[in-house]
Amino acid sequence: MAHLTRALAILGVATVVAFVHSWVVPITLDAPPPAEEARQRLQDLVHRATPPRDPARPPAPGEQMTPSDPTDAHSPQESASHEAGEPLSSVASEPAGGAGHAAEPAADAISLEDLRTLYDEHIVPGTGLVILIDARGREGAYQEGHIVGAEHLTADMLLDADPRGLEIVSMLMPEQTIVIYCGGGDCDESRNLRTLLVNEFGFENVWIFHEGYPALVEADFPVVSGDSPIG
Amino acid sequence: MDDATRTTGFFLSLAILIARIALGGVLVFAAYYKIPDPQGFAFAIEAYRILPDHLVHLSAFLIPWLEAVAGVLLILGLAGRAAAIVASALMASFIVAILSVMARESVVVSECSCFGKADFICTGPPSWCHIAQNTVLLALGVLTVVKGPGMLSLDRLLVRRPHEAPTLIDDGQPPDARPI
Repeated sequence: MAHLTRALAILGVATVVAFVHSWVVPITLDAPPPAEEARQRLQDLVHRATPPRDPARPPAPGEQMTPSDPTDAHSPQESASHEAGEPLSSVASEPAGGAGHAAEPAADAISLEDLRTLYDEHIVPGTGLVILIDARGREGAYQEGHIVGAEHLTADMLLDADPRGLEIVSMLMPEQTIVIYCGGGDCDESRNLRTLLVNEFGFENVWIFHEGYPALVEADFPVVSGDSPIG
Repeated sequence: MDDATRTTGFFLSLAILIARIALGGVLVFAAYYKIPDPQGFAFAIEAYRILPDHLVHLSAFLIPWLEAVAGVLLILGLAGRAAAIVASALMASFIVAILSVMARESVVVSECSCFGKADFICTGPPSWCHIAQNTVLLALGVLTVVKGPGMLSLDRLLVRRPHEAPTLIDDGQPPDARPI
């Protein structure tokens, strides 16, 4: 019994020290949702890059947008887009609630269709407006194969102050749209990196392709092996 | 107490000392890498998808400090059994967490993060190697809980037991040579 009491005392001491530590070094688990301004920037990019849709053609499942915030539903720009017959981005959208929307996309999510658009219109030509980041942390995963044009940057690289990671971050600019992918599934690597980029480095326009690398490969995005072109 | 018993007791204490230092050293090593990086450790805990966010926050600070306190106490042999109880509880919970991740294919954890950013014997995602590693450490902790910290510990030096009083300092004889 005395040993259990002492064990509880050890727990108490550790708890007090941990409390003081948490007060000195605050941590965070979640990044705030994308700012409306950032959301609009990505929408504008997509609008510029996507050809007008034929009004007679019904929208594809990933093409129809329902704004995440109901108050945004009739914003002037979106109304203008509707009137012009332009497609709306499904980025940062909530499900419409109808059939076919089994899971809610996260507020920081970018759809495959939009990523394809950004990739073809910005990453392939190298406009510098969109940056694709491979956040898979498993050793050798990036070198074994990654999407052409994707930089390798992980949350661990930033937390460890890895020179290559810091170099990549130093090359990013606030006006750029950053799209992160990792291994897909429930992998948190994209979210961890986004949290750091948003909270620690102040980037606002950071998006996650939650389906991850396997879905990009399946969608015939070009793949290359080898190290990052930077560093 | 005859010489054979005394020799056995000495070697048992030596074995427990080695076990204490091994377990305590590993705990201090783990704490050394986790304490400076609570953010990274919080991400690592969150990736296991076992605890709600508020407990992730708590664990990100509490686990490293528990490891540090228990590890130092184990090495010193001060409150040895209590420290071993804490260490064993930590190891058991780590084993459960790793088994939980291995059982859930939908949860992808790229690194065990058992020692923060450092690797110790096992590398990569949680695996049977990590289970074996933690099981060995758990066994060392249980040994210390069952047998106590042994003669070669601060507990032994600081705590007087009734049949050992007066001590070596008082009459110049070892406790075992003294009539009870």
